[in-house]
Amino acid sequence: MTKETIKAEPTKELFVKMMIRDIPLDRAILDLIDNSIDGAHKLRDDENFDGLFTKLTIEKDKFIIEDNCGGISRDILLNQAFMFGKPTNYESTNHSIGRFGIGMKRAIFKIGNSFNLETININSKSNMDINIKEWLKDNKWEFTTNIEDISTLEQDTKTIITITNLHPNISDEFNLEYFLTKLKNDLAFTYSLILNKNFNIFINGEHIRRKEFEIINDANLMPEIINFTFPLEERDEDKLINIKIIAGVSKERDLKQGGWYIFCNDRLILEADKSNITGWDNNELPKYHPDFAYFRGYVFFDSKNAELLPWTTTKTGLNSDSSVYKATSFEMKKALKKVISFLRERAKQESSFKKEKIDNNPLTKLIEEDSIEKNIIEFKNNNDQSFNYIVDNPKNIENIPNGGTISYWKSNEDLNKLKDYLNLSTNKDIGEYTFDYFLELVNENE
Amino acid sequence: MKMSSYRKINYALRPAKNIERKMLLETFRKLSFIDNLSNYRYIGFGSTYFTDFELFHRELNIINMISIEKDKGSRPRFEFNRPYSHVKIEFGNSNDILPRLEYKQKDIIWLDYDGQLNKSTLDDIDTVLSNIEMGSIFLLSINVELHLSLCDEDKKDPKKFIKKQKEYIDTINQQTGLKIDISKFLEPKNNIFKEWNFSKKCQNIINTQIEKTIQDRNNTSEDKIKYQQLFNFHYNDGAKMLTIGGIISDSSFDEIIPKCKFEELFFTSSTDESFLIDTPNLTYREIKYLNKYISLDINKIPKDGSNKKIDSIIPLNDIKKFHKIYRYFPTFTEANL
Repeated sequence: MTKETIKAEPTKELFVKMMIRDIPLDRAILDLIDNSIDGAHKLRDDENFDGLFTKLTIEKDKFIIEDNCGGISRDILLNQAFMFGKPTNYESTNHSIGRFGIGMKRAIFKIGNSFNLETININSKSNMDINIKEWLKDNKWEFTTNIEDISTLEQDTKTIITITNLHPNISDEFNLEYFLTKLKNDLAFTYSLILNKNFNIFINGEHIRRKEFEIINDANLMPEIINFTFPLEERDEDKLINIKIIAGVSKERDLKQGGWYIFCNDRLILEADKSNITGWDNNELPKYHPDFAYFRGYVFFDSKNAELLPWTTTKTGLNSDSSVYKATSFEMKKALKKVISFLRERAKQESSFKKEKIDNNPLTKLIEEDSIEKNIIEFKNNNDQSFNYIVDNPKNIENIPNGGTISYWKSNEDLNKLKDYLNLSTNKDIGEYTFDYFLELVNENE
Repeated sequence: MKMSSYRKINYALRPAKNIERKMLLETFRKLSFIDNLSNYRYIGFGSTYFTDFELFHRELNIINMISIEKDKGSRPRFEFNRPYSHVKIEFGNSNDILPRLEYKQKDIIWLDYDGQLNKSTLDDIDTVLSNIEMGSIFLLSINVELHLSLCDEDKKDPKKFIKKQKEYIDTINQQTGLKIDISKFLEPKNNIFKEWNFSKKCQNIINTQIEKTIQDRNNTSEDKIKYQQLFNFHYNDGAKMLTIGGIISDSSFDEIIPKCKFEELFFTSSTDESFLIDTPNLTYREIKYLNKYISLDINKIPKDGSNKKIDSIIPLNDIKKFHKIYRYFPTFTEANL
């Protein structure tokens, strides 16, 4: 018997051609912006990013991203930035949002065949020009860069990545007005909380305005607020995650905007979610429904150590199996149930009001007229509170005449037959219709 | 929408229900090892009779009481029938009321539904177990009767009969989220129309939900919580009913709960095995006679005036049933109150 070596090294093609399939183009671009924001975090501990920016130029034949967020240091450029995956001893950034050590490379490969990277750090300056097709021909896992030691001020630091020789499909996308509009909109949502800290993002010269997230917070209608840390027994700031849940209602009954919004280190990773990932439509909770379109829930995961956060590598989703998310979703569900109960009551009241069974609809009025919304940013330091609402004289609103209910069993076959015949959707409707129909007959004969 | 059963029958007159209530009472007394019973809150569905509220206040001195009442239309009637001003009535579905309550003290929560297991029952189980304090009791009762609207004519035609049964199971599955396998339910062993088989299915669903919620909750607490089943009753006052429930605790109760000695009560059950509250049909005179010699073995009960052995007068089976539950057996008599 002999011992032989089996080849198991990765190929460059794996990274250049395969890895890029996992991520949509817009998300790849967001990865590059994440790197700028991580740079901003390194520069400003106080998280006031005034004056810092990322500028994107997106055209048919080129893509440029430029920022003034500190540049890439000699050491990181040579030993870390172009590694595939993060080396075990990498230098981490507190509250970082770039996490997996693949974002920049993946984005470059996704977009084009050539790139130039120019970066100026306070101590060094470098410039590299790479043709990826040429690089693929070579077996070495290396790039070559020009680098010189300098000394400059922080405000003069910058990084510019220029990608040319775009892949034809990417070039087509960049040419679409729709792509740019959607990207701008995505950025306004995803980085809303970071833009609020005065960070600036431009696309083709246009300054991106942040999307405002709001929720009613009024003495008469208070959202649920829950704060906790995870792991529960962990006290070391560097190892724990701070979680804040805000759940309540918005003034706008908007089917699309209703749902949960989840942020990791202020970056939105799940937008207006109504799926069973956030608790809807499982055994205990109903399906999302127009009656619940007032619902807004916001969850903030924040940690110095980004690796602890429950996001997926594309940062477009939650790792719902993570224990921190399991603990959080339990609290989310409890809060959601309270709000759902309130919204159901509103819907019932509204329906009775429309049928003129009651002469008032105080809950709808409370939401739409008598309460004020607050930006979620203002809740940063709020302590726990319970979802609560107050309406005047809730007992006087019920004015349903005395009566009883009838219940009986019928086979699905018969029920469906009548549903089709009468064009009704629920069993209850059939029951009411057939009863009323018969009653009318009796009344006519009297 | 189901007709509330208070319109059909006075709960106090259902003998098995009456016995169940007294058995629960006896169990609740043991909670005094954990805390003063007056520190507990009671949440139930009082209907217009509030029988459980009266009993638990009178016997346990529980003051903090909430009755959840879904029938909003008859609000004044429920308010009028409130036995004590300290009973608070919350109008609405339990689904909507339970999530909104605060759970800051120990509770005894009895969700005594009229209807069958459905999605909203599971929702309530989840809400209660997600929130209640350690040392609390949670139990629920549901109807586990299968109503078959099959006429005798259908029964004559086996094919049609089977088809109708299948349709019915389909509906049950839809309404309850149960997954009764239609192809198997006709086999004698699995036939859910047989005896308490449907109840076993329901128990299964309920226990799975309880486990799931406890597990979810344990993701958020350092001290793992436990649910210990105490009640698993079957009874039949005209419809088959199942009551299931237990106590919720964490490790801080590890030494106290054994002191309660719940297992000393012969009707408690920590397993899938139900305790059947089986009520004999006896006259007042018979009850008096049996009570008189209750400490004796049945065959030693003295003969009556006509020199007949008691089991030749009252069916032996009824005597046995009575002996099992006589301490809880109700006597109904007409009275002007």
